[in-house]
Amino acid sequence: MAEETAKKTNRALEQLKQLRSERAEENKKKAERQKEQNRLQKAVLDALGDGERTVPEIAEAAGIDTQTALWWVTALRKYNKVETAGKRGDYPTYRRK
Amino acid sequence: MIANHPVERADALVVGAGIAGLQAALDLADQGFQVVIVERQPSIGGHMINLSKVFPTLDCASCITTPRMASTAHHPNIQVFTYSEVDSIRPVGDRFQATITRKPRYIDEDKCIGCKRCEEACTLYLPDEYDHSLGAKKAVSIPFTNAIPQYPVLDMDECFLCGGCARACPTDAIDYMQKPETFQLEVGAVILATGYDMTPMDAKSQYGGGKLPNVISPWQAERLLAPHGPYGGVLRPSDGKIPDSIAFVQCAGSRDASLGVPYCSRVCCMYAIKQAMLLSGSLPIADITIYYMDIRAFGKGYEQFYQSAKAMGIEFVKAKVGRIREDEEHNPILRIERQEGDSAPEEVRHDLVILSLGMVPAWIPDRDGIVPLQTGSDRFLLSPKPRISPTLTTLPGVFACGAATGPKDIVDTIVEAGAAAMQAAAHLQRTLAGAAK
Repeated sequence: MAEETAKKTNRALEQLKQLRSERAEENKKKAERQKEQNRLQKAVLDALGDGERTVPEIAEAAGIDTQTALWWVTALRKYNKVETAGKRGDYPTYRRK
Repeated sequence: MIANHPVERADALVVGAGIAGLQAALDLADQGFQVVIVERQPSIGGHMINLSKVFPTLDCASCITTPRMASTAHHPNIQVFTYSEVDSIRPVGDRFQATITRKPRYIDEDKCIGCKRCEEACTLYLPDEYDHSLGAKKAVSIPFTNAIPQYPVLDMDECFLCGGCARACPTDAIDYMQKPETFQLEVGAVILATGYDMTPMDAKSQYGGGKLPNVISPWQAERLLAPHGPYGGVLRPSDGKIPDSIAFVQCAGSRDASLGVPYCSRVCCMYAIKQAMLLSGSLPIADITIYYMDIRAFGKGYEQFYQSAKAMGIEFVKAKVGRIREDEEHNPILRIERQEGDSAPEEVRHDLVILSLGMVPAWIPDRDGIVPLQTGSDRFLLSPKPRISPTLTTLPGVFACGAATGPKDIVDTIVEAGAAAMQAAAHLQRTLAGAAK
């Protein structure tokens, strides 16, 4: 069973190898987008630091617009990296999990 | 049952697995007929599984839909093909030959155990269609928590081939080279339960839909109100603020010949009132205004529902909205002309605006030559006997129900689905009896 699994994983990796060579140019652009996503994600998490922040506060600290900051907070909240902490004025606050 | 492999023959084909398709399939299957369902989305449940609550009872939409989804998925007489398209349906004698294509999920469904490890490993975030782009999903993800089946879909157009999902999958179910699979199905009857779509957000450019972040669709409003919505509460998309002043613009996609939608979509008044009541419950101090032409509360309990909304303090303003712009803080500013009292144009600022979009058919089978059927001037499926047999189509043996035949609410949709199932059963019995002779 373990041997069979290893063989199948190799097949998936072989598929990847083939696709990477076929889509090299296209993939370069996609990899750039991933890097940008990693940067934004880190900026939002760094902006949260150890405290509780509203979306406008996160946006200001991360140097991004509030709509983008909310989208990332929503994404990171869904995947358990951020949680809702409380409320400040008209805005909920968030913190790292 | 969830079908992972082609089926050659069945009694009936149901196209669409929203509430109409699920009800029609269950009603046929419970009579002993073998039913195949084809659904183009990765999960069954249709629009209804996306809704927060239903009017006028404010019952939980998921609590009504999920049991039907589960019954369908486990029914021994039903085979469900999700993430599949009907390419054509052709009459052959008194039966039908359907061509169906299963789209690649890039997942081997026989091996996938729905553990979500691929989704956890994936690093690429994309807008989530289920949350109408308010939230995010991963490039490989199960569509939503209670999706049926629990198979993820890998978006190969977006994937940058890092291989993380393949390495994380404990059953080696990732198949980057999966291809579409087309097969033929022979059936004795067809039920089209293909549902509706909404007029595009940017159809009336003067309302700023799709451009102004705080002008949202009713579907997005449903997600904001859902218990597991993207933000975990009602916030506005531009900056995550809790809105204090919310407006609904009625007839923002219906009763407008310039959009090609001269008809009333029948449900917008009620879903706006429902959403207004739910918003009022979530945000008790918020001002909620509905700008309307007429309120059409025609169904059982609907007028009482409307009166309850007024009693709750929701403001109904009979006015036409000319255009919507925004200020520097993305607050939508509506230019309105009141239809009662002083009709001088005025501008009103709100924090969040919901456009009550109209209903249009989701699938126009005669347009692409999929099924040789006639549609009406409104492009919904045409019945030759709309008064006495609304589920008949212009092709004997093909029946239609729900929003595929015209705008209607959930109650009427479910009733019509049952009627379509009975018509299909009678047709099958007649053709079987004919064949026996």
